[in-house]
Amino acid sequence: MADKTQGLTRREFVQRVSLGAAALAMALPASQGLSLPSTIKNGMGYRTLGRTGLEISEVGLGAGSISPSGANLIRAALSQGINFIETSSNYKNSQAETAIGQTVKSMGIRDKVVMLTKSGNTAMERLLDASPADIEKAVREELEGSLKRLQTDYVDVYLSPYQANSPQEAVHPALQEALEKFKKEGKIRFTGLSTHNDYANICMAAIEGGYYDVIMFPVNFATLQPRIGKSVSDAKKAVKEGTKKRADFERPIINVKEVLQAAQQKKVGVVAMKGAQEGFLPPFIHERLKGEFAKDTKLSFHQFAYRYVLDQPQVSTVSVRMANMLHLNEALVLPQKTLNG
Amino acid sequence: METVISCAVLLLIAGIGVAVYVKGQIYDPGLFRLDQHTLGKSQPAVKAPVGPQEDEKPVTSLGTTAPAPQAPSTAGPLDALAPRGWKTMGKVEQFTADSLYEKIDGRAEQYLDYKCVRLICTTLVNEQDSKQFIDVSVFDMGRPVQAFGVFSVERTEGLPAFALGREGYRSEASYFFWKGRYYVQIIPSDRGAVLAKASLDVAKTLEKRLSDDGDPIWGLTALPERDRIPGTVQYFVVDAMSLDFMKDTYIALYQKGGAKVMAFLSRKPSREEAAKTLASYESYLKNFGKVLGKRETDDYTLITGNMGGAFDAVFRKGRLIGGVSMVNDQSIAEKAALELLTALHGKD
Repeated sequence: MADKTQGLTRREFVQRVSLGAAALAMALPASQGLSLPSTIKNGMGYRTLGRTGLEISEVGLGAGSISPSGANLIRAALSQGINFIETSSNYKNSQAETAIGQTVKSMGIRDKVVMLTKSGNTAMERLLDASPADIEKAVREELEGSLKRLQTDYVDVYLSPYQANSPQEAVHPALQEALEKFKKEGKIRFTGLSTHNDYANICMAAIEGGYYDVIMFPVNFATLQPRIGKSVSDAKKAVKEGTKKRADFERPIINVKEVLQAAQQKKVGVVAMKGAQEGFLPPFIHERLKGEFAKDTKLSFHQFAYRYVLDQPQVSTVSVRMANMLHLNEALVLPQKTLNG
Repeated sequence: METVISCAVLLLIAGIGVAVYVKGQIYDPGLFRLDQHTLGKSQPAVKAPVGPQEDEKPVTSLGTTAPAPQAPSTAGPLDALAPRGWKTMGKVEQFTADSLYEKIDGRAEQYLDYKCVRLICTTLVNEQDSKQFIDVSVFDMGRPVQAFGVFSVERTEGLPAFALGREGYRSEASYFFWKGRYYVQIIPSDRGAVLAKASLDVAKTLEKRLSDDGDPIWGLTALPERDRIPGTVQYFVVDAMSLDFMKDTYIALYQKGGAKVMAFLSRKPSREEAAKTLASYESYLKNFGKVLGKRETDDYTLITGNMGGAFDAVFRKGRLIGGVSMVNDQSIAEKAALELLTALHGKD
């Protein structure tokens, strides 16, 4: 029985109200409880990965710690609603891809899983001046290896460059031509890049360049809140004072708010990484963060930190690096939690 | 009525959003002020990667069997390592548990799980061609079982064994081995013949220099050799099979009934600890799959579970926990677990 409300059915009214709430949430700065999964099934939220249109679980399985003997974790995650796996050709000496390939094949669910992998053994910064043929060869070799280990004909999202170090890598014509070839060959569906250093500039270059569908970079309290980022940077600086710290192991803390907004405008999918990593959120700051953002939370710090990332409506998924079932159990309940518990 | 409630909810959300935004704009300088006292407790001091620190033992405590160097050196087993035609590029670097992440960011955690004491490393470069180099890393893992453990979990399945140290393997022109408490990686910049030969020379030199008291590794002798696929034993300090409750566990692959079967084995300090671990395993089977059966005898308890089409069979016998995991066939899983159990007679 339709309940007419000013000419609308109840369903139409609820839909419009939901859309209005969604639009409002997108317009406002991210805050508690405003994350927007497109759909929720069995407690897991799913969001659209930018213009790829792929519907992916908002909690992604970060496979950096998984090897074939631990493949039951992949099986458990996939059976509990996670459909997005983030891996790389160099994770666990390629064993992570092997474990994923074996598991997905044995479960017979390739078409239901979104696989993201990366050219993890190709340092693009060393190939900037290489010939297009050499670049294609290097990335093709990587991609073919990944496809073989993943036991699939295609990867859904292929990130290359991996750990981009400069904006030039994000707009490199020869690399993009090579990736286009792989797309035409049916080996990859969508492209993206990942970056740990100078990530605001690199991501902005990628977004403005218009080629990449997906970007993966650090999104966490420190990169979203300038004063927290500054506090952590200052603390790290104080610790390192007087030591000969290697510059290439510094993890810069850069504000990414603008990147998220630009990505949203251009419909570039955002895969958030390092949501709770100590390099960005050292232990000394944990209680302070909880004190400011959630007074009475019963969440573990990791849950609390990842939940905050998910509260950013521009984030499609947060890659949670899982090493055991405890991590999986903690991650699986994230969609139903709020910062307060 | 629904319209009014919905509009009220919308207004409330908007109000909260505005309030949070306004709050976010007000900077509270005291809230995130650097607390040096707290920092001092929680942040390990980062040590310089090169050269010994005042409060450290010199690297020569690594236990090298090489003759003492002529001049003061921090290189230990890496001292004068370069074969003819090669030279050391820069200084030998050393990293402790506190600073390991500086060298192997993203992978340090695994080494720390295995109680890595120290890493010393260097790069050798071809005097004729500076583009050719070899990275050499020696991890002092403190104990042989830990050296074997990190070696075993880093090893990629299917790579050919190579006679170096207690166990070694080759991957193209790279060499990896463990000996005593040390785990060694020799990784050249390319796979050409010149680099491959130089890498092997370096590996053999290092193998001679590193000491080994020959202590046996329990799991390597306890796991039955029959049907075992060579080079597949792994030792996990934590998270064996991605299970947080499976600590100090050995894993190996077996060929059983035409299928590859993954077996596991762990020796707990007491029967009670073993019983507790079995109970955790049973809970895991219930949470993520289905318990198919539980057999209890005077000698052992055996539980079988279906994990979405893959089968686990786990037993407790005295203070041993063992079994097989992710086997495609239930009967093969149960048979293999019972064979393992039988083979463990007297190894508790």
